[in-house]
Amino acid sequence: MIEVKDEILLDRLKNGDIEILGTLYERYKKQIFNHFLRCTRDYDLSNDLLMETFERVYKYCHSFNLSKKVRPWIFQIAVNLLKDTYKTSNRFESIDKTKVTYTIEAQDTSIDESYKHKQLYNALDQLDPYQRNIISMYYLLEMSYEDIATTENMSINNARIKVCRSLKKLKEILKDLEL
Amino acid sequence: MKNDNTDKDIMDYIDGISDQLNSDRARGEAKVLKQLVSDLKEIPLETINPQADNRFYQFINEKSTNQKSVIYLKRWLPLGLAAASIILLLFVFNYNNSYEDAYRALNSNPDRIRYIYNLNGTELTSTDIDWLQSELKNDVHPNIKVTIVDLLTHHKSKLNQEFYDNLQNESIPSVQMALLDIFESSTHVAISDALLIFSQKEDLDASVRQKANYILSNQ
Repeated sequence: MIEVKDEILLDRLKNGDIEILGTLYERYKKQIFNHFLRCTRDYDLSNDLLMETFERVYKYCHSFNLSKKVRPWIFQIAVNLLKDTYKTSNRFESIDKTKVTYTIEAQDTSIDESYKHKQLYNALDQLDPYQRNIISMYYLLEMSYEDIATTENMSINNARIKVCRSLKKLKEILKDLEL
Repeated sequence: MKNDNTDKDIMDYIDGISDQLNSDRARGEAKVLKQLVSDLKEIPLETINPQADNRFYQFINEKSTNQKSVIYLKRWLPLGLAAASIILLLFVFNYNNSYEDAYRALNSNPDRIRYIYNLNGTELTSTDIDWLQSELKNDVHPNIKVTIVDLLTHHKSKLNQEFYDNLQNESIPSVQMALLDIFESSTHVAISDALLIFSQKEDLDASVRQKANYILSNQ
């Protein structure tokens, strides 16, 4: 089945077809929710942020320029929402370990994989929120450097460098965890 | 600066854009980071609580309902308003089934004057004339009275004795002058007697008395 382009969907949403928001939600909810979850490690908050992201998509769809891409626009809304949440709360300065849960073991195919993923989660938790966010934008949301640069208000080259340094930092943490 | 360039080259390597790394150390680091990115991508995604989905679709339903209400309103409101206007007009028309009723519904003197003025050229029944004469007798506003007299000028044949008696009771000079205009052009039998009595009143304005005498002398 041919998937209708996001831009066509958004055009219909702009013209009042609210049901279309559900299609966009189904397309991106998993990525956005997991981005929030990996950055905040708070399940309830991630649900709230996901909801608010699509409320904002609905609210601002009329001002969206249809010559641009919808996917990065939605992701930018999500990332900015998370940044707003960071600003209004100090709770993400460090992950609240009591809230951290690892509930995806059942999906892991082996004990080794499960262990590796736990280690990755632990390492991600030790990054500062900014680095967690930028790494997640890169590997999970798969945003281009251009979109990351726009969201973070920096040059494209700088975005590339920030991603690299955050990955290096994550690698160092993983190394320490393995020792 | 050198580090920045190396970082950019590493990312180009990870992204598969280029593999031009200037040292074995950088190449080794790039390979490790590429594997790290691959590992990160392999972390299974958590599924969303169905309650969150329900909440979202509830939001859509609410918006959809609101939207339908607005569309419904936009579609039917003009028709509803038109129907209400027609009903109101019918009500007003039925309620104001005579000029007198419509006149009584008006609140301001300018509106009343305009209304009476607009009756010029309209067919008036004897009931309407009686009402106008009654207004002339009872109203205290000079401009309304003068406008009524001007209107009645076009219906002299329907005027009765009571109208001519008004002259004796009227104390406003401008209205008296307007009444005298009717007397001047009328052939009613009661005019002479009425004019004579009127012209002998002591408190008459000089110009009014002069006009009354003028009409009497030409009778």
